[in-house]
Amino acid sequence: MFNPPVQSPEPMESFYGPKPKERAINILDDIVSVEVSDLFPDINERIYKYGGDLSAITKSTGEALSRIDMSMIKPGDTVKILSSEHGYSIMGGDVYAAMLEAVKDNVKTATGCKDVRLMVGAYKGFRESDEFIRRYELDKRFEGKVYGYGPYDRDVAIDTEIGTIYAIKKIFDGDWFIHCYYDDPREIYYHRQIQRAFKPFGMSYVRFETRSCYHMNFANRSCNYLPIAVFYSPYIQQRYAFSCVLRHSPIGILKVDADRDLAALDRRIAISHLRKYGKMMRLFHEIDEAIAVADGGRWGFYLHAGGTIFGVFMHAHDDLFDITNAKVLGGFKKNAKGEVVPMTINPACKVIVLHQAWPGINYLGLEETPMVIAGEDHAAMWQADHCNPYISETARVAPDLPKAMEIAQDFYRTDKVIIFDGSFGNINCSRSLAEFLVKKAPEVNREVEEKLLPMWLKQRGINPHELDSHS
Amino acid sequence: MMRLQYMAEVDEDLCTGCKLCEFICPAAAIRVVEDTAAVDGDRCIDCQRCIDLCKTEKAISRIARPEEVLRYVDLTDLDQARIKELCGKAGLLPHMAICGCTRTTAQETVAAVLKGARTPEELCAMTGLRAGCGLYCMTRIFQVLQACGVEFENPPDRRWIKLTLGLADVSEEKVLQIDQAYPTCCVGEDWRRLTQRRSK
Repeated sequence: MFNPPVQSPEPMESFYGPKPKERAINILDDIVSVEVSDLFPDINERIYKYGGDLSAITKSTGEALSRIDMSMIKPGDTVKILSSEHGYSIMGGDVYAAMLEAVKDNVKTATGCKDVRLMVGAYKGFRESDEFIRRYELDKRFEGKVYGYGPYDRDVAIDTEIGTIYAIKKIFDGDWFIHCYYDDPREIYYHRQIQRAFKPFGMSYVRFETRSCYHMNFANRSCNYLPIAVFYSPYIQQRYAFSCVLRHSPIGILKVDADRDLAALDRRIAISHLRKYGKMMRLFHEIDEAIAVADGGRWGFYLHAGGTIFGVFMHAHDDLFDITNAKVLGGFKKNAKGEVVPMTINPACKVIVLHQAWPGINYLGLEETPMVIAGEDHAAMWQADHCNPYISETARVAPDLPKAMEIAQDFYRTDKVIIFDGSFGNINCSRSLAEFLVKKAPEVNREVEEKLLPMWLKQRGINPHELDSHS
Repeated sequence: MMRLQYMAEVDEDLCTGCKLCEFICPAAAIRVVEDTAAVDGDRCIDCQRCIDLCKTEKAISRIARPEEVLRYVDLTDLDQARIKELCGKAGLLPHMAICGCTRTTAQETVAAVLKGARTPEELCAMTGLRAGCGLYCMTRIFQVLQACGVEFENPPDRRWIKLTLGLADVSEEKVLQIDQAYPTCCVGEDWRRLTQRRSK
């Protein structure tokens, strides 16, 4: 009835993570694969999935850019292609690199401009950009015009409608920049699918102090206005050429989309995502109990299963697209001792097993969720990481994944196991969970189509008829 | 409260004195003197950012401390009402963790200022703030220092920039405009909640 588990992209070896290990699907017994398209037959379009032909991306980029007016770019200008960190981890990253290269080639051909530079963004580590440049041979593909950047780089002050913020000077000091993004929704619990395509203007492209304001001084819905204020500032608009976005669905890459009007592009993304990712989110919501296994080469909650990150499962106890709900993770709550602590994660996530995942980013709300780390070397990385002192103090350590699963079963006995290993198009999971998902999917589909999607669309002022033209 | 079992150590033979580590250290625990970096173990918070940034292989490494040290500011001997008042002035709840990583509370951070911290670096050295991701708590560090009446200027090398921009600082008139243009951001509703909390 089910397919064998599907091999997902191999983790990239990195200074910031454990040495790549044998994948969980090759170690654990009775793991199967359930296809997203079997669960939701309307989620069936894609031009690329991991292992596919990257020329489809080059072609789609060319088609999208053929509709863009690039007349503002002159042959003697300097153009900066802005890329952000997460793009390099989607399905192994080659797909994002292919789009970036195609943007460069199309801009050069269309404008005669020779100085087209790739800016490679990092979350915070000083070696992240260099690792990407090496891994994807970006130096060669961009004729040496490749530069890393990160949140501690020299600043430029930008006056916005709501005050001055500080961005990264070197990414905006050319004549023009191209916002080259990806629309993998990732942290729906933060951005709530509100103006998602603008987010790098409040995060990746700005200094750490601005990132801090974005996350800490605005609430979880209103923070989405900060990047808009930055984007529409005169400083940014004077340098902005256009946007090019790698468009996703839970089964892979839909297409490459481009527009000078970022708001219009964002609207197209929202229309597509509310239906497709809405179904994945609500499917995760239906899971009553599971052991989650993180198995990939990036920070744990950014690892995908069915093209949807672990973080969405961690917060699937709430309707993340319902923007009338102000309290999805955005806040803290008081615990039994009266201390103000972050809200806890989805109670259906009974145990988290870290088979391979990077530390270095805070996992909010794990106080009541047991965690097991597989491998002594791997555990040592977590113990050295002050982003999660709670994990390093309380997580159990197992010598390997089978033993970690035994410990997990001691915490909570269930045969439902879901593996977040970077998969798009399928979910690698235990047979019992696969059966559960197949059983639940039709009612999730019905709930989303008949009740939730109309509400999510209405909240965003989107006419349901637009679904057909943009999804 | 931060428990520290490790700290940074410089290999004087390998150090080139480039000062990158001095620039990036959030606790001002590293000083370059005569072309060689030196780590002050009493200030180091084991954030490992210096190790990450250093361009010379193994010039800085992480070593075990002789014994575990705690970075924690005891606030029991301080005026609790004053701490609460200053937290409120900073727009923070006293028990609220101002850092998602270290879980350092607003009241402990205020206590650190009342016990002598005058810069973000001193706050980090005393409390362990910024030992984790080091990114997102920055504005709250500024807010606490400001609320406590500490005057501080941006360092010339721009290792940090004082920025406390928040929704509550936006004028009501601007909030109404934003609300009309971008209703999905719920700026008005969030603004009213935040400003009401501040006025209490």
